[in-house]
Amino acid sequence: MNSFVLLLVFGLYILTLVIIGVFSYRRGMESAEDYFMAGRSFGTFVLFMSLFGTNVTAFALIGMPGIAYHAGIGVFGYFGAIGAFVTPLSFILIGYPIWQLGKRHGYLTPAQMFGERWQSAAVSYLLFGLLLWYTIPYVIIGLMGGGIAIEALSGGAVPYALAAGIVAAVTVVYTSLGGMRGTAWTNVFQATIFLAFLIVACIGISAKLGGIKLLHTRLVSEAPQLLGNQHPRLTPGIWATGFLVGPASVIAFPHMFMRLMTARSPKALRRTIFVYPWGLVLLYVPITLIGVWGALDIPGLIGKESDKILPMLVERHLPIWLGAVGLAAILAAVMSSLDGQLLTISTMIAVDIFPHKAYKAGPRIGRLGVILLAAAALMVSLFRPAGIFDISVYAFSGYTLIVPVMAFGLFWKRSTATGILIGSILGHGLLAAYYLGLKYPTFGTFPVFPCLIIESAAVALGSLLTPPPAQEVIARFNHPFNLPDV
Amino acid sequence: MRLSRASAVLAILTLYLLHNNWWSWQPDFTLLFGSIPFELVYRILWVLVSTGVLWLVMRGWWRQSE
Repeated sequence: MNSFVLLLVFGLYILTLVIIGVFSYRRGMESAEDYFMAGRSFGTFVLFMSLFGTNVTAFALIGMPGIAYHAGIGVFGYFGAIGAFVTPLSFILIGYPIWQLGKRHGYLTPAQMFGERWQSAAVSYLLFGLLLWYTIPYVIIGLMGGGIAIEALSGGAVPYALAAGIVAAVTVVYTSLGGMRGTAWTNVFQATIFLAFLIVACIGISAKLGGIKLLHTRLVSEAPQLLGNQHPRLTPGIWATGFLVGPASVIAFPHMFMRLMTARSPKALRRTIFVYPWGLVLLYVPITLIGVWGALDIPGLIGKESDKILPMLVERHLPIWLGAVGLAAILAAVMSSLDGQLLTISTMIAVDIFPHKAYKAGPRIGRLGVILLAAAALMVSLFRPAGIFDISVYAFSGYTLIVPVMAFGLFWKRSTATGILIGSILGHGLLAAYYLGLKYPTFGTFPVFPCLIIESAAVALGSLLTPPPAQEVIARFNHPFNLPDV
Repeated sequence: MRLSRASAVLAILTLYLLHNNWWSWQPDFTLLFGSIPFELVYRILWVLVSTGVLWLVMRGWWRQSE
């Protein structure tokens, strides 16, 4: 790729992020509520782009086309369509009560909210620890993904360590300066870049390959297997429970949980939820088609080689400048999640570990947290720990096990701290044991499925065997759908 | 139109069943309008219907607080 064009586009991209960070810093106020929650002031557009940008990772632009290349159009149903329903549904059922409670009582983190729900420091620390445990690998993966992408797409001109360092440094600058407001507005910019790039790339590639009609007629005659679902690992059991690992766990990502609480009003939240499925369709349809068309245009790629199919098609068929925008799009997908995770972890450390100082010195603690965390994650990412990408399925499954805790807290008044502790320890312990080698029977489903059943049953049993929570605690968390206006 | 809680659960279960159409995973060579694979159209229509269900669920369950 032409290095001047690459540097120009890359430089413009980074400069824009820093400007947004500085602008948000000047506009913001030095209070915890403003730094961590942007004053709960986001309307539909910023809220949607912020949630969408945070949720979409580099996997969508790199991994997904590679999977569609081998497995065919059917993967859209598994990754795109089901997510377009289950994630917004979780926003309706759990996200809205969370928003209400956050607005009413000023909660900033999941551990803070649910610790108070059961009046239990143990529940609060357990949730804090679990969320930290599942989120930190993502920060490392994000830095590694950014480093690998820049190194590969610059043809080795920018070495991995430097690339990961640049990603970390830029993310730290705009996240620590702008807090939630800064990351939300950069997410608007980043989501616009990767969505626009994918749509333009999809149209451009199909035009160069003779148009959609010709491409799909070729598909019928040359690779008909790609018209369905040919992924060997997508068995009916995995397909049926796949929504648990990903779409259903999104609501438990602390960075998504906190962003949901930044909505200005129920109207903003409602509109965001309606737009959300179509954002995912706009993202996953081009991604799937590009992967499948790649199999026609550059056949014969084996295994993970197909992960590069998007950059390969862009380089082969589109102008150089669009290739540079493609690199910015991949970085945008990496950094739009990374910033949210860094900010969220620093918020959790400030609020859940230093609750008495958080509201006074929140922004200072938050900024320090972002810098230290990014530095630590960068150090680890430089060693490229083997197998860290395998952790992602485990972490997604772990988040899934936090969803029932939220649901019990919001909808079952009789649930108790003891029940939650027993259920969580059993569920998360069993999941960890599976990934450490204790391969219990999963009956053709995801390993998290049995854990989910055992966890829920243990919470129910443990709660029923212990005294019910005090009435005033239950009243504070009154059935969310019956709460009056806030 | 408002959905009762039972109807909402039924609608969600129906959508879930329609998502698990593993009996028709074999490639379908039909190209709708001469160019769009049937599988893709099926999934997009599924999302369209599911958006309607989301709207009805929200109307029913959020009404008391808006």
